[in-house]
Amino acid sequence: MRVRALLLVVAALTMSAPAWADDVVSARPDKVAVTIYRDRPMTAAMLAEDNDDTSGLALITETRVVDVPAGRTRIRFEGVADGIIPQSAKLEGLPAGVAERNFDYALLSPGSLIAHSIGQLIHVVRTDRKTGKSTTDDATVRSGPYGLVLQTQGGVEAFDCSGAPERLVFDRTPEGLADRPTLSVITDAAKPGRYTVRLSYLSVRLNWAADYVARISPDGTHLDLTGWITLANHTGQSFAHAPTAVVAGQLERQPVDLPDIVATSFGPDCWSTANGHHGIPTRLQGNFQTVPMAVTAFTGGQRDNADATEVGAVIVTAEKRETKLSELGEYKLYTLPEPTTVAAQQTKQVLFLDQANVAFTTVYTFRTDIHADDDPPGPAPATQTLRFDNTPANGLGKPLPLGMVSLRQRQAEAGSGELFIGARRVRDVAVGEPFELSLGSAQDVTVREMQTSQKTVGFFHKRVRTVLAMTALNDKDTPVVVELRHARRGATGFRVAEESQPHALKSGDPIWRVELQPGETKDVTFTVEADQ
Amino acid sequence: MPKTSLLIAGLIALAGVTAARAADEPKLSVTIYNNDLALVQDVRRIEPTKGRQVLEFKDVSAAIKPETVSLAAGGIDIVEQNFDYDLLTPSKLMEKAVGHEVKIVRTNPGNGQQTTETATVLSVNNGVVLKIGDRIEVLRDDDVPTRVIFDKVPDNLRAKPTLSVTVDADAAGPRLATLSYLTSGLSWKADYVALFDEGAGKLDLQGWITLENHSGTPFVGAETQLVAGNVTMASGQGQGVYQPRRGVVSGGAEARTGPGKALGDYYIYTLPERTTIADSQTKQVSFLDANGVAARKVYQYYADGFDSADNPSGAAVVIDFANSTTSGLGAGLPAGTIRIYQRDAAGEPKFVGENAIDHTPQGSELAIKIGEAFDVTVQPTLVSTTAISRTRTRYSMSYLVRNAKAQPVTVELRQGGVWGRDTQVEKASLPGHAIDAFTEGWSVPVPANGQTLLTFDIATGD
Repeated sequence: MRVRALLLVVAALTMSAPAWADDVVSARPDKVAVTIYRDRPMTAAMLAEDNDDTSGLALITETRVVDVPAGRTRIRFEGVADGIIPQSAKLEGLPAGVAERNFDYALLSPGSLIAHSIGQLIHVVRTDRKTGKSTTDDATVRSGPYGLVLQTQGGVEAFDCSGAPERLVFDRTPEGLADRPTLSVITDAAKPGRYTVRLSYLSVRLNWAADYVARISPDGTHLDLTGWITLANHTGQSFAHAPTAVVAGQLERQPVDLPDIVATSFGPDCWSTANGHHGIPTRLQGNFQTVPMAVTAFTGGQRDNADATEVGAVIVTAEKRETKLSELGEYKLYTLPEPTTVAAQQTKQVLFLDQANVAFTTVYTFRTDIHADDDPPGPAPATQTLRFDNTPANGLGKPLPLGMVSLRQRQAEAGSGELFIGARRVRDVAVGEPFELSLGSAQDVTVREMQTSQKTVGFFHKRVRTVLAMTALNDKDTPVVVELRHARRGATGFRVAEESQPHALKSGDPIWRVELQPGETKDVTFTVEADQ
Repeated sequence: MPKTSLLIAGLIALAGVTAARAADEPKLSVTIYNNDLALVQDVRRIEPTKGRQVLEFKDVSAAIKPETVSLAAGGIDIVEQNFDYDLLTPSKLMEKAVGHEVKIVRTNPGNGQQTTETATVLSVNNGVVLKIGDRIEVLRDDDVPTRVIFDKVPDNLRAKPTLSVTVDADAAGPRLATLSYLTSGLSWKADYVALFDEGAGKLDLQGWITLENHSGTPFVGAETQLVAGNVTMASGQGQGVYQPRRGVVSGGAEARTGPGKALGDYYIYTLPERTTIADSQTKQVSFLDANGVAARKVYQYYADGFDSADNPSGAAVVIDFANSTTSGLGAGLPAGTIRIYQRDAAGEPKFVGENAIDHTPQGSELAIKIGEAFDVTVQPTLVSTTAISRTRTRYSMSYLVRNAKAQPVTVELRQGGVWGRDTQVEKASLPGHAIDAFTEGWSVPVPANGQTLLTFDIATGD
């Protein structure tokens, strides 16, 4: 079928553009490399749910060998990713320049077959239900695809309205309809030859996310951090044995301008019959619309089905080999240790970070609330916060791409397992930067907050003076550090007037640190002033 | 300059202008604008007979704006023009057959024998009522497969939307007619690919014109022109209103497509040869190939007010280059998307970000933000806010600029949110300079694998 279609396309081309030689068809890439970008902040869980047709971004670099004849030639590159952003395509390695390049997305479908056959001679085959005898008549398509009217020898007839089995037979597929969207270029080579070309383009529907597993040591001072890259391929294409890399960092993007790939369907539009039940419902009457469908639905049949059983599968590589980290402009490039196969509709995970004994400190943070009017003020839990310094001295010193950290607590007793104690998102962290993971409320480290006085002071320049009394309590059996933070960002004329111990500054807010032994309680009082 | 006068005269007056343009062979020319609009001029051979008649023009754009159609041909007066949407479908065919004779072919379900009878369609109202001889029957009331054969297709039912013009010809004989109309469904924009070489401070820029046709109709062998600039279509009924925008593009461009001709305030690119724009096709034609354009990378951070942040954020990475002959460019660049590539450690060009550019005349500077730096970050802290007077405030800011790269960098830091009058920078840890009345700027050098703390006070207000 396809061979015939191609021959006919060539014949038609020769008619319309006699100067052209035959089309050169490159059916598939010989080699393909995939670089996947982070389209937006993503976690592996979000990847799985992602069904947006325009999300994700990857650079696909294909190597193809083409035999180019001399003269004006059209080269058709088949088998490009179905998420291709055609205007991003780049072609290198042809002996001559590219006069123009085209991306055709008129797909061969029943509807488009009819739409392109208007005025053409086709055949109607009618089969008798009783005798099984079929008769073939020539007919000319007068209109379609929504409601077919045919010119037959006897006159003008509607197709599929008689109630008898009827089907259409076409001699050929019309020019310009392909089984899948195809990129083609027109070039002018001076002499024939075999050329290795590189075709690179951007494609949507490929994405990746970083995820981390942190196993905290029983004593709570160190953790083992492993990082996983999850690759997700939501296209209909499999990239077999492809050198694969991912890029960490936030790229500037533009709204994706994808061609509206549609497949035209067809249907009869018959007159109604009185008893209805055998009549064919009138639909899409006199309508020229096409029915949009995701392109994947059509490439589905063409898909590499070799690993169809793995569709939707999550592949975890058992190897402990880390990916290679390098720089790409202002981003981080993680190259997978060896070529991998990213199958269609597949999610795959590879290890990119394995750091044992990462040091961290735990503080219990508490934000004061100057408007608290609890009556009576009860103790409120502090937030357990893990603080890291991304330096080699602390066992880390590696760029950490944004992702979700799953935190596990290892038990002291031998043989007992791990406890999952929460999941937190980490931002992109460069080497040398501090970062925090806040774990949530600690029920055994609490702070009681009381506003003991609030006064307006000053005459011409009125200020509000507030006295806060804080009581921190450690109910744990280990010593803890509690950090009381007075969030007053933006208050004009703010100052700490009096305090029971000196404060430090964190992101512009004053903080008071207290160390508490097991069972210990400590008070911190301070007076703050700000303009009214 | 017939094309120039044509555009400037406005689309309403097209008919007269095109009539004056003596075309001697059928041809199709398409002028495509940026905003989903195209002007189609279709010179066809017609063979009218003398007197009044209807001329049909098939294969006009399915997205035609019928109110903009004009037909010009020698010796012909236009009586009226219609754009017919009455599509030929089986049900329409049956409706139009009321009162006419049709043939019905019944197939006997028992033995497959066919019988043909002549019937008159009496009505088509939720079922078809036929008169066969002196019997009145309902079509397919008995579930027996029944074909209906019509004599002919009524004149005004068509497979495709068709333009028909009633004309009065002074004499019979072939002649050329120019049909011109506006259509939607055709659009174009520019796409640029830039390979940036940071070490050499250069970029190679390729420009492609991207045409898109989703009008439902192919344009075969068309002379194609592209107009850069915005043409405003009046909303609602009536003709397109051509509203020139002053000073959009100026100067001359030397592109592979031939010099982009300045037309009034617009830029015209003519494709070098006739081309076929198939339906559902994205077509790209190269128009610019410039190598070694001087370019540099800049880190920028813009704070639009005075505040603290708990976390650092990446500095914007901006590629700066000038669209001038001295930098290696110097053509008007039509609006579009620019995609920047850089080579990775292995020498492979990799995508590093994209942005939109506006219509950019020669002599303009371009600053393309491509993303945020992973290793160069800025963390602002509002240290204190003090009222100096009822209307004046002093903000004490500190910016911690970190660099995890192995090379020193300079971050262009911009402090916005300044209220303008009598702004004074006090006690800055680095010398800065006023960018404009509302922005203060600092160039912050940061050592390799190090950090720099920029602190300053700004007194601002009336």
